[in-house]
Amino acid sequence: MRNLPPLLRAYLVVVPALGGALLVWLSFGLARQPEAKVIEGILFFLALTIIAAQSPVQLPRGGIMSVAFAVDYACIVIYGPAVAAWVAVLSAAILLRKSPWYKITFNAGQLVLTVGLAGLVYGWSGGKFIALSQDHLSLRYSGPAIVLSGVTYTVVNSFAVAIAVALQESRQLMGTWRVGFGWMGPRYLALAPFGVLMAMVYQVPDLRYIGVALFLLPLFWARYAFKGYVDMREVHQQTVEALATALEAYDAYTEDHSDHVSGLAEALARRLAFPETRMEALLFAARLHDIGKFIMEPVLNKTERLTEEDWALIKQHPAEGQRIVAAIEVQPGAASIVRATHERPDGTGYPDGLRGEQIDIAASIIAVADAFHAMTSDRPYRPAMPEHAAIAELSRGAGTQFDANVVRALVELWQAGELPHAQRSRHAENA
Amino acid sequence: MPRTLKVYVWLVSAAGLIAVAAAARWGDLEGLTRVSHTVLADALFFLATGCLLDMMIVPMTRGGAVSAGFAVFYACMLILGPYLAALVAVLATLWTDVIVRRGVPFYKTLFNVGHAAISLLLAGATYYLLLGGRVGDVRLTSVVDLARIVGSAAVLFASEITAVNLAVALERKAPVRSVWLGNARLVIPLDAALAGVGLLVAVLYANRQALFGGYGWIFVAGVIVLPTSLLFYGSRLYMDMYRVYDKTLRTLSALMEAKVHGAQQEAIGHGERVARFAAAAAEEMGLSAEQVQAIQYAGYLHDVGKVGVPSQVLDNGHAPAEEQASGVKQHAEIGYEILRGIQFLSHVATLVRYHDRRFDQGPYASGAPTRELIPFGSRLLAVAERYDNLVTSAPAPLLPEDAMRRLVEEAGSLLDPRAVEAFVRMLAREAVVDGGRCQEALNAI
Repeated sequence: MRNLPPLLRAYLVVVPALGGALLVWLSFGLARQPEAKVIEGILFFLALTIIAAQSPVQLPRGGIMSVAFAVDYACIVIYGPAVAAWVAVLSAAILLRKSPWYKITFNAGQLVLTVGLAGLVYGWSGGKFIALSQDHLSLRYSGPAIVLSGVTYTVVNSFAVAIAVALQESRQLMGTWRVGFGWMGPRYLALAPFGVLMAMVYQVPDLRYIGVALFLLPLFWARYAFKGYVDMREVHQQTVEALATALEAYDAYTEDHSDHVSGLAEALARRLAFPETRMEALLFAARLHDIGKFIMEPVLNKTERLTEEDWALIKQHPAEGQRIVAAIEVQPGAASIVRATHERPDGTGYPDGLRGEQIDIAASIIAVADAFHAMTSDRPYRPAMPEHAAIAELSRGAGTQFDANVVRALVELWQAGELPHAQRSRHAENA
Repeated sequence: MPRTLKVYVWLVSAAGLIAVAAAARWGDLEGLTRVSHTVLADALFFLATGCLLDMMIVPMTRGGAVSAGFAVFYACMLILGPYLAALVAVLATLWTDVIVRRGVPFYKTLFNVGHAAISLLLAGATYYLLLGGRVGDVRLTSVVDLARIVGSAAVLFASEITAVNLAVALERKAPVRSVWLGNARLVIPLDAALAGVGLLVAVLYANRQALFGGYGWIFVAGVIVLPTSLLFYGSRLYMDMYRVYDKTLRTLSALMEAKVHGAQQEAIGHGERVARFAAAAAEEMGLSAEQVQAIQYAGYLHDVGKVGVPSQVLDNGHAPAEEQASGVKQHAEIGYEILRGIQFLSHVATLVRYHDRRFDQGPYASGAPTRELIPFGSRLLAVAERYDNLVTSAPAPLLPEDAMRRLVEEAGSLLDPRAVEAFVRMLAREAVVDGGRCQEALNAI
């Protein structure tokens, strides 16, 4: 904890303190409830939460998915915020027992605040806690309470985490929160109804705990299938990258080229506020933008002058790349990007001779990244160009050979010293 | 379509239709005798949700598919009895096959109708006749109740999976056991989840009035649709990824061949053929689904090392000293270096590493393992590769039968006799070579 930023350290103390205070306050209310019932609820939901949180799935773009949301929610509706808060504390202590202590306290505090506040909102807006009252849960009366507490849950949880992330990586809070919320919101919407349904099933005298447990079966299956999907996707990505590297590695100079181009393309895309939803397609296309080049090999090895037909073949390589990337199928948007990476704003590019606005910005980003990296790395016939010379060269081509906005973004990144230096760091790693 | 498959499909279809007719005529199952307005309304509810769910088809890794509709059919069997449940299943299957997914061949529709009806009647017989359940009275209070539920669900899904897997095995001429095991990993948890949803639905439906008032059926429909959609979505993602991966490997394998061999047409498709043959032989041997899969992937990728030699492979210090000194590494070793960094593919990388080793050679080069340590999958790949080279390579490609004889001659020296045996059996099963000739070859090994 000592090497953390001071604000973050303060935050890591405040959250558990607030959580602790809320827990104590909620526990006073709990004292009025029948003891056996409360213990039963805590034990059952603690077991359920621990089972539900087992081997959470790592999502491709960061974050994890587990079905614990639904269980939390069912616990709130059935037993109320106090039991849910105790379950949160105990489960954090058990699940995170191997983590540093401040992680345990922060997570416990954060979870207590989340479920506690969501539970209080549920109660204040007219919701019934069905295990502790003789009432039935009815959507007609509890509907608004369910919605309001759901919103509370999502907002509190996403803010608590976003603040920690923003403090740790000194990023802007609202931007971090939006990313986190965008990730969490849809999952919450998908899983919250399960929590409500689980709570309703709990009311059936014959079902009770069995019914709640039965609900976990499809959730677990979905998790299992989803894990299979994420793993498979990872294998897929790695396989394509390994084989693409093998395919392009005919000389040592081009070997890491695609890696650097995709690193540079990502930096440019962020600078240009390129839509996050298309980011993966862009990076995939950047990674594979050269994959069609193998059809040019007979031409490249020629010593005599290139003929018309040779040029025609060369101009087909982006189209060939498009065909291959389309066949790989994993990023549907990437294929057409690859096709357009050799187009020029003035219309003299190939294979389609597109102009200006017709060219996908993603392809323009890759074109600039490709040219910049090619100029700034060694080639058999010439040494690497210094960065400032490459920047000057690209600026000369802005608007004719290269997209002017993308070149401007590159210049800005360079001036700010924010260009990724993949090559240098890699050499440092090797050393 | 193979004859055995044809016979099987018609048998199942006929049996299913006869079973429905017989149940309608003679079944003294209670559901029949009390057809009233409420029963009709119940049946319509299950029919509507059943049709909706039956459209959610989860394809299985080894072929065939599971319909989410069985969750509803099972609930219907508990609430309305097996005869009406079979009827609902038949109508829902007709709805999806004929109206939603037009173009399903007639015999497939009949088969789907037939095995659904049989499975439901068998489950009904277990629940009502064998274990003494009563129609519409779903309880979970005693051990007997639990046995009824678990037993009938097990019968329903076991019968259903077996019917489909048998058809897949006959169609693909693959051993039934291997198809079953290959699919089981995915299907058993999926079916358990569907059974769970079915049970929940039945209990809630039976108590809907008391619990949720007049519009309780809307709520029950939510319990049906929500979890099954999630099941469907997750499975679909997974299965699609599976298919995409396979296709990607084929594409990349063809691409590497094009790069290495240029215009040599017969070299194109080598990786795909080796993958197919080696995987089929592995199935023939009854290897596990994971092993078959790894062998198939290794088949696609076995020559990846021929493509190029990334410089970090040459100077990373892992290579044995003399290889490093000569600067030349076997393509298999390079392939291993390329693949070993890929998560979950380490076994495939090992198979690729040893696929070109002779069977009779002991320790190979320095630091390489002895014969015993070389995985059997690599041996199978070696046989499949040898076979493909024999039947395709210019100037004198051999006929499959002669190539098979050559494999038998080489068993024990170049190739592993056990692998050759499995391969010959596979050739016989796939009818590449006449069965009699294969038997002769097997005797010669």
